[in-house]
This record gives sequence, C-alpha cells and structure tokens, in this order.
Amino acid sequence: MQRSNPSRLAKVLRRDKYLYLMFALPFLFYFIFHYIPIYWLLITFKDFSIRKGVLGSPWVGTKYIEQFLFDPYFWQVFKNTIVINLFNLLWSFPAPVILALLLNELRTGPLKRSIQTISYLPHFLSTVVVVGMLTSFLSSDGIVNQLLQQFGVGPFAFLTEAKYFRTVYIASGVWQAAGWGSIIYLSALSSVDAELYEAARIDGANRWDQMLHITLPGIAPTITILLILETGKIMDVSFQKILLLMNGSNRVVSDVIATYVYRIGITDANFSYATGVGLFQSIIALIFVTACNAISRRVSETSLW
Amino acid sequence: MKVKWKLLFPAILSAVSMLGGCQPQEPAGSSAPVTSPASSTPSTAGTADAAGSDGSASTYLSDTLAELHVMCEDSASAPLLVDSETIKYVEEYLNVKIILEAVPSASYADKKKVLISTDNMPDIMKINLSDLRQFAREGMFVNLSENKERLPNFFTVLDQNPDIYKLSIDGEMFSFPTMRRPSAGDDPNGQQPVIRSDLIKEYGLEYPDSFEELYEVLKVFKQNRPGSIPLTNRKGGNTSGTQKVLDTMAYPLGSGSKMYYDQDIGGGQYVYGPAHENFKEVLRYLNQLYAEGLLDPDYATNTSDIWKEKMSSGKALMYFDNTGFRMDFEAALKTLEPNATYDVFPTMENSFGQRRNFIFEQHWSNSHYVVASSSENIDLALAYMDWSFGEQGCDILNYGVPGVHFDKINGVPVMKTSVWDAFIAAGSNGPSYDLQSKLGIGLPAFTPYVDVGASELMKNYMLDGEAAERSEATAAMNRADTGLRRPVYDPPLSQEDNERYNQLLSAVENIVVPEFDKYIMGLEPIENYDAVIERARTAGAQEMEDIFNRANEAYQ
Amino acid sequence: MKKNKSLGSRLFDSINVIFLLFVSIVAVYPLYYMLITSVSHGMAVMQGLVTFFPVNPSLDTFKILLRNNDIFIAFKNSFVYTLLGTFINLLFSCLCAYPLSRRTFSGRGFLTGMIVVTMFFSGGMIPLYLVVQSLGMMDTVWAVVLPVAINTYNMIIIRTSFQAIPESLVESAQIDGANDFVILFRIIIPVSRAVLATMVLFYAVSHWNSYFKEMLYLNTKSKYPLQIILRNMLVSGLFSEEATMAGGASSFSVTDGTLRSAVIVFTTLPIIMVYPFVQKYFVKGVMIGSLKG
Repeated sequence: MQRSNPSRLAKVLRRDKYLYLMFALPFLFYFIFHYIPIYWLLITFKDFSIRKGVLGSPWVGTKYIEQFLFDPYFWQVFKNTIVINLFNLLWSFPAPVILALLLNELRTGPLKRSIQTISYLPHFLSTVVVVGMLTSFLSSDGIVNQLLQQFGVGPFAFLTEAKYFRTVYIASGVWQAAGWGSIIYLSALSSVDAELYEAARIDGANRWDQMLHITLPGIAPTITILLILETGKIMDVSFQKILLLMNGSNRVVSDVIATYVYRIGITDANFSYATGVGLFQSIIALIFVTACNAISRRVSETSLW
Repeated sequence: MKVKWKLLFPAILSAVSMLGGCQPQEPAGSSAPVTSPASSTPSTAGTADAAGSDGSASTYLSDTLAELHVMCEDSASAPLLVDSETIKYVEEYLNVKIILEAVPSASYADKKKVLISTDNMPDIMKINLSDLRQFAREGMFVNLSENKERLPNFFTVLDQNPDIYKLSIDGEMFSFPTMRRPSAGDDPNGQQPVIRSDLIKEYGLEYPDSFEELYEVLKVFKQNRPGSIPLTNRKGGNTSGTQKVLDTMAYPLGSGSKMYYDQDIGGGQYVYGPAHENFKEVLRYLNQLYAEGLLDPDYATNTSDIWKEKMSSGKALMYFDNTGFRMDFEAALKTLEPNATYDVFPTMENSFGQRRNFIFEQHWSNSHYVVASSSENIDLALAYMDWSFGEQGCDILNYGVPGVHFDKINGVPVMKTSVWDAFIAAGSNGPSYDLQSKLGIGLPAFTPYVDVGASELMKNYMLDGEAAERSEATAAMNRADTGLRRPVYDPPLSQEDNERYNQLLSAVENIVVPEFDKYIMGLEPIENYDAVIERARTAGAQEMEDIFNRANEAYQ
Repeated sequence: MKKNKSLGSRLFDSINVIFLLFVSIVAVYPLYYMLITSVSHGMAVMQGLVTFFPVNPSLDTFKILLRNNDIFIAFKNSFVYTLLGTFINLLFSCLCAYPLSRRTFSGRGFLTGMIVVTMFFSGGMIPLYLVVQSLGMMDTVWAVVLPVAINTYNMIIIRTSFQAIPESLVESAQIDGANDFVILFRIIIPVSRAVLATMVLFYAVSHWNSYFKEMLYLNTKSKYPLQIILRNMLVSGLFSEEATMAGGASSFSVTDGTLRSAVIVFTTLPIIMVYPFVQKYFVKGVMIGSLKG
C-alpha cells in the first residue's frame, strides 16, 4: 500500500500531465483573483480599522454575526429574500426553456432568426429604464389599468399595494431575461443529433413525442446544471430594481437583506457587519447548491461536481 | 517646508525661472489665452492686487513644478476637463499642476470607499459628510485645526460662517467644506410651491395665503378641469414619492419629515418629525387632498420623467419642488396652451399659524475636500487649499483667468460678457454649464470656495426682457419672504452618540415609514397615528432627539 | 416533411407563430421607443406625444453626444477591451473546462468543488483592489480583463457541453497519439462551435456593458470605456434643472429624456449586432459532420 501509493500518483501525474499543464493558468487565475481576496472575510470577526489592517484589527468573535442574528427585523428581510427568490425560480427558470422549445419548433428561416434576435433585446435595458416603464404602464391611468377597466375591473395600485409587488418584480424579470436565457438552450438544442429525429419520424412519432423523447433529453444536462446553479442564487436579488420599486407601502414584502444592509450602510458604513451578512448569505446559498447537486447526482447522471 | 523656502529665496527662484530651465512650458499650439511667466517681470508680482498680473516665482507655492492629485466627482452636465484653462493658468501661476482624477458621479461613492479603505487616497479628495464622520476619527485625513496658522484664509472664511464649525469632529476641523462666497445673482431659493398662475387669474382666484386656501384653490382647479391632477410630485433619487412629498411639505405644514431643527417648538430644538404630534396635521392635510383627488393618486411612485410629462402637458397644475423647473415646464406647455404660466408664490400660513419653508443651505455641507494624511504633499496641498479660500484663489477658480475672462471692478470680479456671448453663440443647450466645464470654474470644477456669480449672472444675461423681469420679481419676492429659513445643521456627535443614533434611526424608520401611505390614502383613521408616535418614541425617537439636543447644548 | 403534417400540428404551428410574434412585439417595443424618442423633438417627448412614430425627427441628440470628443476614444477603448477580454475569456475558460470535463482527470471533483465555492464566497472589491494593485496592473488594460478571465458560470456551461461529446471521439484521437492540447484545439473546440459562439456573445456583452471595475482600476480619463461616460449621462442626466432654467438658448429640441434614449441606442446597437453572427453556429448536425469526417 505505502509503496504503491507514490508510484500510482506518479502514474496518474504522468497520464494527466497535459491536463495539469492546461489547468495551470486557470488555477493561477482562481488562486490570485478568488482565493487570495478571501482572507478579507476575517473582518467579520474583527473590529476592522483601516489603519490597523485586517490582520492588525482586534478580534471581536461573533459580535457582528450576533448583531444581525438577534435582530428580529433581519429575519423578516431574510424571509422576504427567500420567498421572492423561490417564486422567482418557479417562474423565471422555466420561461427560457419553454421559449427555446417554441422557437425550436419554428421552421428555420428569417422569421425564426428575427424572433430569436428580438426576444433577447430587453436584456440590454438598464434597470432604471425598466422601472421607469413599469411605473408608467402600471400607474393609476397607465395602459394596464386602462385595459383592465375596459373589462370592468380595476384600477389597481400595482406599485403601492404590497400584494402586487412580487408579481410585478417577477413578471418584469421574466420579460427581461427569458430571451437572453433561451440562447444557451438554443445552442444546446443545436447539438441534438438530427438523425434521432429522422429515426423517430420513421417510427411515426408526432412532434410532441419527439420533443418529449428527443429534444428534452438532449438538453437535459444543460437544464439540470443551470437549475443547480440557479438555486445558488437563492439569496441574490436585483438590488437596484428592488430599491427603485420599494416604497413605504410595499416595504413589508419588498425589503430584502440587500436593501436592509444598504440602508444601514448609508448611515453607518460598517465593513465588519456588512461582510458578516455577506458571509451568512454565501453559506445559505452554498447549502442550497450542495443539496441540489446531491439530489441531482442521485436522480440523474448530471452533477456540478 | 517648501512654502517657507520659497519665501527665503525669492530672488534666486525668480532668477532660475528666468533662465528658462525650469519654466513652465506654454502648451504648444494651444489656443488658451495664457501668458507664460517668462514674459512677465518678476518685480510686479507679489503685490496684493494680483488680478490681471502674470504668474511668477513669487506667486509660486512650490519651487519646482509640483503635482497635486485631486479626485473629484465628474458630472455629465459639466464634465471635468483635465486641461481646463484655469488648471493651465494655475499651473503657471502657482507652479502647481493639478492632476484631476475625474470619477463619474454615478460611481464615485464606490471608488471613494475603496480608495479610503485601502489607504490609497490621492493628495486631495472630495468626500461627503458621512465619510468625514466615519473616517476622520480613523486618522485618514489631515487635522486642519492643528495647522491653523498655515491656513489663514480658510479660518478667516470659517470665522465669518461660524455654523460651519458644526461640521467639526470632536471639536477639530478635518475637512474643507465646499463653501459659498456671497455674490451678485446669488438669490435664495428652495423647494417652494409653483402653480399655474394663469389659471388663478382665469378662475378669478388669488394666490392662496394659507394651506386651507390652497385646498380651496385646488378644488376650484379640479372642478374646472375634472381630468387634471391639481398637485403632483416626483420621487427622489433613491427615496419614494411619499418621502419627497413629506420632505417638501411637512415643514411648511408645521412638522418635519425627518430629524430637523424646529424654531417653533419649545423655543427651538431638534425634533424627529414623524414621531411628533404635529405630524398628524401633515397626514391629515395630505389625506384631505388625496381623498378629493387633489393630490396625484400616483404620488408615491411618480418618476422624474412622469412628473415632467405631467407638468409640461397641462395634466398637472402645481408642484412643491425646485422652482427652477418652472421655466422649462412653462415653455413646453406654451406649445399646447399659449397662455400658460407657472409662478412661485409666497410662503403660506399653516394651521398652527406659522409661515415657514426651507430654502437651500448657503454652503454645501455634504461636500468636503480632505487632504490625505498618507499624502507626500501635505504641505503643498494645505497651501493650495488655503490659496483657494483666499480672495485671489476664489476669483480665479470661479471666474477664470484674470484679464482674459474677468476683470476686477471695484473689488468685485466681473465676467466679461464677450466670454458669455461666445458660449451662448456656440448654440449649446446648457451654455452656463459649458462655460464652467471649459474654463474649469465654479461648483462643478475643483473649487472649494464657490462664487456662483459667473454662471448665475450668465443665466440672467440670457433671459429676454419679460422673462428677466419675472425672474427678478420672483427673486425680490423671495428676499422679502420672511417665512423662508435656512435649515440648521445637525450638531456634531461623539462617536458613541453617532453609532447609537444610527442604530435608533434604522429601528424607528422601520416603524414609521410603512405607515405614511396608510394615513395619506385614508386606509387608517388619523387618530390611530397616536399609537405609531407612541411606538416610535419608545423605539428610539425620544432618545434620538435627546442625543441631538444634548449634543447641541454641548456645542453651544 | 410538409406532406404528413397533421391538422393538430398545423394548428400548433399557427398558434406558436402568433404567440412568438406577440412576444417579439412586447420585447422590441421598449428599444423601438428609445429609438424614436432619441430622434424626436424633446418637447413632444416631454409631453408624452411620442408613442409609435417620431415627432419632428432630427439627429440633434446624436450631434450633442458626438460633440463630446471623449466618446470616440471611449468607443475605441470599449472595442479593444471587449475584443481582448473575450479572447482571454475563451482561452482561459476552455483551458479550465477541458480538464474538468475529462472523467479520468484525477482531482476533478475536488477542483470543481473549489471553483464552485468561489461563486459564493468572495472577499469583495476591497481585497481584490489590493491584489490588482500589488500586481502593478492599476490603470492598465490587464486590470480590466484579467480579474474576470473566467466567469465560473460560463465555464461550467462549457464544461457541460464538453462532457456531452462522446468519449469515443477523444479515445480515437488518443490512440492516434494526440495529446490533450491537440485534442482540445483540433477536436473539442471545433465540435463545440455552438456553445463557444454563445460564450463569445455572453462574454462580449459583459465586457461591453461593464463599467464598475473599469471605474475602479482605471484612473486616466482617456482609458475609460464608453459605458463609464455614457452611464454617467444616464444616471446623472446631462442637463440638470439649473442648466435649462434660464432656457434662453434652449429650444427644447433636446432634453434629458431624448438624450438618454440616444445614449441607450448608441451603446446598445453595436453589441446587438453580435447576435446574428452567433446564430449562424446554431445549426443542427455540426456534431454528426465532425463524427463522419
């Protein structure tokens, strides 16, 4: 055992020498630009002072972690963050897949290419512009309320009533991201073997069957990987959009961790506190991804690692 | 040290500069009307009346051409030019090259934070009040009070504006606040009511003298124009429309939207508005307007664009905000309604019998220049900053090159109208901004002691007869309006107090902010607000007021 | 193909086309609106009169934009950063993705895990600034392209698509004596044209739209990319209230609103042009071709 180990290692190294060589540059990149800066997270447990630096600042243990873990308002914004993201995942994740599948059913030609190109345009609009349009369309005499009033309902205070906040936030997010998100699936679709369709048609499979048994399995690994990665965003929000859409009335649901920390940060830029909250969010996100990855590995062949 | 050396060897230095070895070069091919020091006679310089004279060794702040790195906010409306005419002139005049690091204002806060917290500050840097309070105690900035004898000009200006000492940290000044030198064309204004004066006449009304009368006027507007929005507003940059309504109207109505100094309560004290009895009157009044459709139903969410659209299309008829917009709105609206006019009117009486409104503060208490304590050029930086607070520095940094852009007439700098004409003829949309950008002068440039004469008088200069008359009438009205008051600065807090205050503020805001709309929209009867006041006071509003009032007494 | 289409299939096609057209209209209108407001008269836009067609069209906004000489330099800078950055991204991402896609690569799971962790834990901008500074990259193009050489999200997508390539393809090359570099550049990359083209788009767009790190790491105005300058116009507005207050010279042909639209059109158009080139590679049968050939 002891003797065979080094020799096996040598064998492995010899076999994979080009792979290691190849990995050298990426390794350096991750080490320099990702792992070295991580030392900064230490300030969570320190009373950070610029002059003393990270290492010189005195330890305070979990003082800052406790500061937010025992803050009841923190748990309210924590809940808001999770709820918004769960709903968001539910709607935003399938939308680009469906769009890509529908586009895939179009016959190749100028129409298909144009629709593809057009559908990704909203991605390029800045948040400020999107929120500006939302405010205009959803105002009391905006186009949406005018349409609804044609059907005898409304007007609704979409932007001030708390119960509409998530809908507005998520729907606009789907609108902005579905086209862009579908690109990756369209690219995956293009590598599904065309001969499989030919064979299926000969077997008399209709288009629904083809989609279910050829197209979807063909892009399943991509879908799975992206879904796992997406669960890692459980603590992320479109900070600027929320900030712009937030007002006193919808604050009960719209106030999230990011906006809360930002508000505290304005008055009291406390690096240690903010870093502590960030660390907390990272841990939650990592737990979600690890769990999803484990499930995926068990259920399907695909996994992140 | 360099400053003293210069005084010891003026003759040697001027001789050296005459030899041409180290004289500043005139930019080749530059159209800048700057005179090279080589052409000047050293003996004329150094006299107090320096306007119009050329730079020479005895005006130098440094014996060798020195550089000062300065980080400033760059706005799109008046971009900072690194080689503006003033910067070139200053280089020749003081032998100091100002290297401007122009950081876009949209990202300024982030860059500033990184540079401070990595101890990478340039020699001089623009920061805001909360940076000052946070980082001065960390020893990041040079203590100016300790260098008082080297900053005669600056401390003279401070002594003329003693309120500014409230911006000190533990009794010491660490920053050069951006301050205003009184000048012609500098009229007080603020967020005042602006109304469709043509409709007032048309419906046989008069300018409302009280908020109750305003309510009646808006009702008449609504009756005559049922589809209109009598009173509208917009969101602030990062605040909701509700906050903006309160920021502009709560004080005139007898309360305040946040922590503020109220002269009318208890003989003058700091009050947290939303947790005070009088705030109910604000909510009651706004609810009254809202219920009858007089206040914009979308008041909480209107963006600036929507607000502009409503004001310039005749949809809305009145606003409480910066009065400067009224000219834009009027000009736009005239294409649809040729008779439309917008005018400011005097401060109204509220239900407590008070007439009051804020005008903008005289200085820019949220904008400070600091010298980095890690800088290698501290002496020079202090000398330069002090120069900019002197008469000569202030003239040059606000009016440009003496003799070329302005003349000193009876001790007052006067911009040459030919300079204005050139910028107006260029056909730009914002000539006064172009002027400040190209010459590198005034508030948008690196100017710690600001004199707005050059740009303000230019705006008046551009107005035609009738518009100029109306503008002057408004200015005269404001000068006569005793209800207009300058806001009082917050008292300086100790570090402990500051931390405690911020903690409490966050807790109290979490209580009161979600409540405002409920009462304005009438979802809750006004009596219930008593409970909100009670909760806010126990959660910290009381303590916040105590902290401020205690600190204020200690300061006095 | 057409002959055996059922009624249901044709019905689906029609509904699908109608639905996707609807999606297109909803997606295109905002940018179309930006386009028409950017050339419309400022006053008309301010009054809300522009909805489907430009009113009193003129190119004044673009003239004002281009009056700013910084814009041309910035445009060139953006172009260089995008080109160089995207090249480095592709190279680094492929060099990273290929070893991680090889099932035989020892340490693959561990390394992937370590990389995924970086998606969640980061020190933030302050320590990264110190790293960039200590490498002497401050105020150079390297500070703009190297700290983002690999986007882990994109790299994982590339890895996933590399994994989907049949093992047999690699094995046969290995038997022919090809080393991993040859396999990556001669076989894997050509077969993965579709996903790599997508990555070109993703990376290029992110470089083109990036402003934050540029603002942080670049100190010289002549090195700024387009986004820094134009974003400043977007956020702070070109004419503040006082600028137009006097109004004398202003005819309102250009306002903040129309200029903002022009800025958006100006920054967005060049990068939108990339997609049609990328689309070319979304062709079925790439894989089969390479297998057979």
